Amino acid sequence: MDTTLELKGVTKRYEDFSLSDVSFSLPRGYIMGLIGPNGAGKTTLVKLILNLVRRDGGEILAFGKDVREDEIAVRSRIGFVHEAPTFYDHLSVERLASVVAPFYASWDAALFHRLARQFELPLKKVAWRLSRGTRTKLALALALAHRAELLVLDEPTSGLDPVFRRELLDHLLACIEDGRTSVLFSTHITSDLDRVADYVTFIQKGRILFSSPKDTLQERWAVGRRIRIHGAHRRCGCRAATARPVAGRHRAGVVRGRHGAFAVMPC
Amino acid sequence: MLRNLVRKDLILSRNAFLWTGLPFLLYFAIVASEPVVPLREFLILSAILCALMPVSVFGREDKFKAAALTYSLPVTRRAAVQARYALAGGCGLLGTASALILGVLWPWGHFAASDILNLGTILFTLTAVVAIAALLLPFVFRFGLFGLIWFIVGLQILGIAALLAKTVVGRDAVRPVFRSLGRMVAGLHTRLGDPAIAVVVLVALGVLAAVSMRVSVFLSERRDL
Repeated sequence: MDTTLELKGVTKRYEDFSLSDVSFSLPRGYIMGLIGPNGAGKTTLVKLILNLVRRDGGEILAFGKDVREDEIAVRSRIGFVHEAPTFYDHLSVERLASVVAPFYASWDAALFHRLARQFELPLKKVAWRLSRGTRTKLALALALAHRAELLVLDEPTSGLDPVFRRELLDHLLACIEDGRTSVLFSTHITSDLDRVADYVTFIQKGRILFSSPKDTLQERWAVGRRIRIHGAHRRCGCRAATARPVAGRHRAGVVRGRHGAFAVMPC
Repeated sequence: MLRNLVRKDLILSRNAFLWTGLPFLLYFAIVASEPVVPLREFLILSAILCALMPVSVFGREDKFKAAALTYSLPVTRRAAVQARYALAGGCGLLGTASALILGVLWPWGHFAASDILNLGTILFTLTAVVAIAALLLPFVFRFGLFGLIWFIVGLQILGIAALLAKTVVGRDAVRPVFRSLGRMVAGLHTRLGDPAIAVVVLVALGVLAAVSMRVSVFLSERRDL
């Protein structure tokens, strides 16, 4: 299976936090949900993939190329949606697109305008006047208009209303239909994973607890059809029924919740 | 890529350049009209403003926190830094030219055209612009807008320290230091009229700009966004 993104033993150290030995891979044409509680290292990981943050060790390959050594080749095939999409705020949506477009050989202006119509983007409006949801839509339109083969989205659904959240997730599903586009999105909303993720990577305190196909997770950890993943027992509000170890030094447990669903959580 | 980056920065900063450039021109005009202001002071003030203008405009990217957007585009940080230096160079030259021309053409100005439009004076202003921008830009690339603010605060602290030193050790003890500094600046201004020295200074400015750019690239590549 073709691999779009591969991380091998990636480390990043800060004074009060570190990512340790992060490894996982995302096959071409699939959606991976990166989940974990706040402060687990999701945004750092996303920034490492885009080389916005300098890694201290390990290897990050996108399309088989190192994201640091071949950053232009790699980034021209990546579309990025930031957690709180930041733009050159005094420019209009249309002007912003005209600034970004020349950097991409594969920029499709017609596609951008089609997406703008579909997302109901006000082309003449300056970026700082856009709502949170519209900013995310604009970031997504900019990311898609150059026909990115890997979409990296950092908490794209947080703070969005349920209707647009659903729309956005449906759009991600539509993106991978061509079989060449892959999506990595971080979230702490477990229902997003239920809806679109093919793979789930769970990160906590800078360590990957597991990274597996969602179906495997469901078969292995949950009897029910739905799987709910929580970063901490408190957040779930459930009482642990069983606990099973996971390979390596990381441990995880499966609990039956009062609500009848299951939670995979660190022991 | 470099062209796209310069174009991007120009589009982003066009209004800011206008809004900072116009008051600066007005300021040059006022200073040029003051008979008590000597030529060299006018030139140094103009140079400081011409160097500060592009540097402060670049700091705006920090204000919008848009650096993450810029560096998620298919560009290297080296290219982004080079584009900024190219733009800063262009702005510095344009600003310097405007200040000098204004100094000559301003009807209430008291500088003679021959005092301003000579090789020594033009090179002296250019030297000051390049030196200040070369010192400031690495701070901006590493620390953003805060880098610029800290640099300026640092200069203020240095000034206060000089004043304190004057009070503590006495005016007479400090005077020679300032005099020798003044003589050095005046000497540079006078000698720049000599074509041989002008060539040496131009080469030195090129080296200074190149070193500053390398430092900026080094710092920028290590900056986590």
